[in-house]
Amino acid sequence: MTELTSSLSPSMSRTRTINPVPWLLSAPGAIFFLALLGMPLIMTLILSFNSFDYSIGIVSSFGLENYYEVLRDSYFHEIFLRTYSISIAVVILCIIIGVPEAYILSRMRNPWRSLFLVVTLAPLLISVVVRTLGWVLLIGGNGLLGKFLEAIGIAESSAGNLMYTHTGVILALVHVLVPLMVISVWAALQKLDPAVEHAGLSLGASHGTVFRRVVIPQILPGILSGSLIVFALSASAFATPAIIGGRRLKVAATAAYDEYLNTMNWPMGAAIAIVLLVANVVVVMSYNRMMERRFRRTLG
Amino acid sequence: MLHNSKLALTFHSLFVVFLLAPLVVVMLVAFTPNGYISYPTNGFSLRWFVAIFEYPAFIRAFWNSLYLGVAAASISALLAVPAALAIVRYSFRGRDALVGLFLSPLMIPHVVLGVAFLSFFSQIGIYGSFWALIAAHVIIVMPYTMRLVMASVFGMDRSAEKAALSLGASQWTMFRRITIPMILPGVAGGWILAFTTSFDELSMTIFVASPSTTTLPVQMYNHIAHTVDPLIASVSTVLIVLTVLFMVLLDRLYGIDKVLIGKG
Amino acid sequence: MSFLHLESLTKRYGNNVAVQDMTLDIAQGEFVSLLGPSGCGKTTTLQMIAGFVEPSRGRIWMNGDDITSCKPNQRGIGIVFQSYALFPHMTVAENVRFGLEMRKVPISESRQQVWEALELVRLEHLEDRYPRELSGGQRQRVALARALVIRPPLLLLDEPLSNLDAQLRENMQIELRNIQQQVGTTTLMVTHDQSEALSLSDRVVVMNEGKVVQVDEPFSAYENPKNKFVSSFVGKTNLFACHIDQQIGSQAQVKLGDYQLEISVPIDIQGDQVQLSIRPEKLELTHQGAGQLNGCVRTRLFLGNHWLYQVDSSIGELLITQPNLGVQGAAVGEDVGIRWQEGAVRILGEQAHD
Repeated sequence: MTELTSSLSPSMSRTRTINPVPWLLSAPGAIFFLALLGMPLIMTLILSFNSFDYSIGIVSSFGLENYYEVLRDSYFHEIFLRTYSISIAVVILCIIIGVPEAYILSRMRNPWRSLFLVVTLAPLLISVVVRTLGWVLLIGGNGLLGKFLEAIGIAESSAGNLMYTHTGVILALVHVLVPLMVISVWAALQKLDPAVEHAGLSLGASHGTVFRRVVIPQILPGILSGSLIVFALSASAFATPAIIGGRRLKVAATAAYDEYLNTMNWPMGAAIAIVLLVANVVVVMSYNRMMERRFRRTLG
Repeated sequence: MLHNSKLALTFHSLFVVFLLAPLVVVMLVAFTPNGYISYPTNGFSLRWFVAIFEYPAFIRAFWNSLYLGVAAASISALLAVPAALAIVRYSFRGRDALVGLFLSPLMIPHVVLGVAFLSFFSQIGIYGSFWALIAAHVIIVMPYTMRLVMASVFGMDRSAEKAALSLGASQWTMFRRITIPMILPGVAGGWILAFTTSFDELSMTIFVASPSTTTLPVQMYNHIAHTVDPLIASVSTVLIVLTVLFMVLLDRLYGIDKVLIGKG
Repeated sequence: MSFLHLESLTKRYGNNVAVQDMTLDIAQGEFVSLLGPSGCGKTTTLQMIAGFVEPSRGRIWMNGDDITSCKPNQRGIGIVFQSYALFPHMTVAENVRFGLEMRKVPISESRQQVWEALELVRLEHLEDRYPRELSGGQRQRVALARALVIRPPLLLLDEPLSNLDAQLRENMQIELRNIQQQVGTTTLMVTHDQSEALSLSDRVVVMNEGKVVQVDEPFSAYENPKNKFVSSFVGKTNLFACHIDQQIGSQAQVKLGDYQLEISVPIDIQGDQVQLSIRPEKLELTHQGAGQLNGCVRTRLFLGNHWLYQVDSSIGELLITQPNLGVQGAAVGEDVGIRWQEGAVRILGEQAHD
């Protein structure tokens, strides 16, 4: 996106006086966003400073007690720790699986390449609920994984029951998010000049060395931006942890949902949401800073 | 052309199995003749597809999602086209901030948006209305529309507009006959991506949808949270088949890779 | 009265002057080229005539009317853009018809006119194709037909051949010249390619750094360049700095190495530091001692219809082209003589001409 806007020519501004045209053109969208995105977020921020009484409901006061609780209480610590450790595991697995797969795809010939690219990306258009349901059927109490493990004699069928476990949640999240990693790396690979690989081979490097020394450094921006997307989405994922993790494995998103719709403690839910939002924004922002600094010169 | 080794092809096969297994399992279970979750080992049955029609909640939710997707995608396109023209073609103070504003929903977890919309809509008294739901979805899908429309405005050869003017077209005729048709592929791609995003959205919608405005993903989630039965598998199967049909159509009309790349 | 008259046309962008004080007259039916390197202001001039760029100062007159503040869609000028700017969502026929549609020409008449325009560029069989289904040369011709169908009083060509490969470019040059003479539309072309400008135009306007340097017929511009810039931009040349030893009237004695040269000096040359210019094709290789200078062949390139030599001589390095007459020329390392006709040497002022 930055490449798109930064390379725009300023030649359109004919005069130094303020031209009202761009303002008029963008006004409907801008007003819509300020009213329907800005206001709700500000309202949530205010709500997070209020307090809650189980007998009265929301008390409009101003205090930081919700944040104290979120940041101090071991119950919430556990939830946030779980959210981010799951996210990191998902990112690592997505890199291990997605990067080689994108590379293999890029080396395929058509029509195989287009076919498998669509097979890889198509799940993105299928509802997350459906994809998670598939995992429930696979790793549930009477699921296919258990039967498979039993059939090949590795373990009892109960070992295949991964419902309400970290492994189950991570597995399903990797399935949901790995196509995004593949797209991201694929896009970076498209920019790669195939002759560069041939050059590496002609200079006597092995395939492995070429991949490590020539390919990886060039697609690193793709891997990093893929990681960022996967991390941000798994940290805020709702459907998959809610269905597979259930009440036993609460993450930040499901905890906020419970505070809102079950406990009805809106101020506490708002505080969790704000913490989640701030953490997300900090990660994305610092990533952008880092990318700008690191890649501005080499891969402008 | 470099070739993939045997090891690479094995890895690739496992990847494809991993990706497709959950979807295949859902479709298999949908055909079970039994009253509980099981594989159709003793014959295929369509009873669970017939059963969908005995649950009008799913049908209603499907139509809700369809209307919602069409409305949100269309409104976002109407807002995005003029905004993209302003952002790409003019340099003015606050342009970067404007881009940031329109793309910001990508950075905000959907659960947070759900929480925010829930309190906002109940505060101003429109919670539960379909219009509130549409407004919330416009916010969520706008970044996708915006990105594709901006890219197409940016990529357009502006000398075609000059050519139209030199041939005597008025500004309005030029916009209608040249500009709009030339950015239409981008707008259409944005619309489709916006529609699918809206149609599948759960994490935000679950806070905002009321019983009368329940969408299909919310309805399905609530069903799964309560019980996992072959009915939900058959509903999912219908959804998978519809999505695949939609994708085939899309690929014929537009080239599916162009849409999917915008998702990343 | 000229047909197109530019009067002190100037365009400033902040502190940069893109075009400075340009005055030019073009007669009805004339084909004129604006020739210069990129950034010389030729495209800005074209954009001002088309109405897409507002002049900072000066006026544009067409057919006796002041069109300086006229909107681009009211000028009626035909333009062929560098990128062709075809409408990708319209067929060839629809592209060509667009201008007629804007003029509300009834469909029965416009069909005939579209046909005629396509016939002119020999594309009548492709009227239902879309631009993406055409080759570069075909697109170029559609763009020309689209610009000509409105019978514009003036045709502007913006680097019209720069996107074509060498072979096609030559064919299109001939075709463009024929079509222009056939329809007789006054034409102004912008180009950075000197051979294109020389071959197509009645007159060439050489521009540099926003200013007109020389306006002349192609042959005169090539043979009698006004200064160093024109001599090296229009064609190749060998340039030598030298000193006028003695001048009687317009005849001067100049020393070129050991060789004493008598040459006529144009009146507008001032001072005694001058440049001598001699074109590579005006030099001839001969036996050592048989020419005015002696030298040794350093490099030889065979270019099919001619050879290009780089020869070290007592006055410095010389570029020499020799036609391929079917016999092997001098070899690398060979000692040669260099000969030229009286009058082949031109004398130029040291400074760019203002």
